[in-house]
Amino acid sequence: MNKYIKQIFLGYILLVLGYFSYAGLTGTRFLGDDKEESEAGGSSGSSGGYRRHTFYHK
Amino acid sequence: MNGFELTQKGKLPALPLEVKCPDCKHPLQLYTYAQAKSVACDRCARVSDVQENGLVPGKKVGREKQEPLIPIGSEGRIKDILYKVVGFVVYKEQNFKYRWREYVLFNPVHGYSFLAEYDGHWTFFRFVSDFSKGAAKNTTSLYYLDREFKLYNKYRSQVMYARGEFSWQITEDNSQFVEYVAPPYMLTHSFSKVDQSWMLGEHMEPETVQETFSITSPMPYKIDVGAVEPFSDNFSYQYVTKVGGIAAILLFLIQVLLFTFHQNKVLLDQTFTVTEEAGKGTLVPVPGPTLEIGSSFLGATNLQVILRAPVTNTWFATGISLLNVKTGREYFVEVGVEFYAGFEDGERWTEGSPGTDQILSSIPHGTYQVYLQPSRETMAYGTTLPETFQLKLVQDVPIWSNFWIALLLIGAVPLVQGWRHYTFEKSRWMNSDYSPYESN
Repeated sequence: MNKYIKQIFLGYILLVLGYFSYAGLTGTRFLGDDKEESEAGGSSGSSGGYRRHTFYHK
Repeated sequence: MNGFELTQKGKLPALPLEVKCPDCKHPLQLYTYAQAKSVACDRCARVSDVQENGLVPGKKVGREKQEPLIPIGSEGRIKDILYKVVGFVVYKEQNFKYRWREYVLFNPVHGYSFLAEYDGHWTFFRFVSDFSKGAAKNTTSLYYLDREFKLYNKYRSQVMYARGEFSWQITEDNSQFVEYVAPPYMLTHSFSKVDQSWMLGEHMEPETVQETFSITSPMPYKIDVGAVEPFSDNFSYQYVTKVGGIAAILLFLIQVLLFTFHQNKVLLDQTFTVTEEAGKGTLVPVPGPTLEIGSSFLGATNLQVILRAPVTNTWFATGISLLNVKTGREYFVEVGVEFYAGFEDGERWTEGSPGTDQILSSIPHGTYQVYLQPSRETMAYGTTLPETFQLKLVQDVPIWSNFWIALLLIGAVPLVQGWRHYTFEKSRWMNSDYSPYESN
């Protein structure tokens, strides 16, 4: 492990930079987001139907 | 001449000189021949002076008999020079309890060197003749080999046990020693009333010593940090900081490029009016416009959702549904705002905000139908429920959280190595009376 520590570190740096570039080009957020995805007709939320509200408030 | 590869006999000894201990008559072998000034018997520990008429017995140094880890007569190549182990000494610092061990190494062409071991840490010493600070004994740092050597230790030594042959009178030696360190190197100044010398020491890994002399016994266990033990041979703090710094600069340049090419295109900026469902208290869903969401470079983009509503001591939320008219795939998110304000003990307080924003990531390009599902409190107590809300959708915005997270990930390794380096150095100087980490 010690022998390859430099290569592992460089690989890690390249991975971070590479994923950052990819995220920037695809509009991806590292931390994700709160959106839900569903297929056509598979959810009661499609076509403007009523969905359960999840906004937490006082 | 190449030392042990000599073929001309009579010029330098190829074979040891056989002598007898003048005390116990045990046979002794002298490898350094006429260069030895004192010889310690491995049976009775009597140290004898080598004189013209033979060995003259002197003091005994057998108080703490110890078998050397590297047997006398062993051979090993260090820095391309083949050495033979000709002597072994156990030292004690005067007025202190700790001991260390030194092995005297000899090569007929290159002369003497030493291998010292203390608490499992090994240092290889050679005499240097290109450095001298005269008799200066009070210097706290020196410069040599383009390095700053800092004062580490001053001491006088005492011989507790010896075996083999030595080029000085080991029982009469009253030299004082001063050590300066610039890991992995050490400069040792030894001086007495009659002479002085400088030696350059270099850290050696125990595994290297073991391999050099083919040691089969277990090596001494390493305790704490050695005086010249390097923090890391191949993963130093300087290297990690340099690579991390370059990576941070690259990250910033990529962010600037992405920032430059981000479209920040406003797809929707509209104020909507809410309508209550008769008799139910809930709000009627609002059909939104059809939007054309483009892509940045790889077929997807992000969408910033900005919601504002006139809320005071209440809340408002809306579900936003984006339905891809071609694929039927739906993306749904709920965003909400709440704002509360009041007076307590004569002071105004506020909590929350009437505006909020969220980023939806990786939305594939396409045509989307927008549906809104607003919601609010059903009953208002001492406040007005919001009747309108403003919604703004912006395509392809820069995501700064990505930049900060990437910077943190890049900086984590130098930070950790920096901390480890600091604690390592502090531990190194714990054994010194001249530690730069201790307050006056």
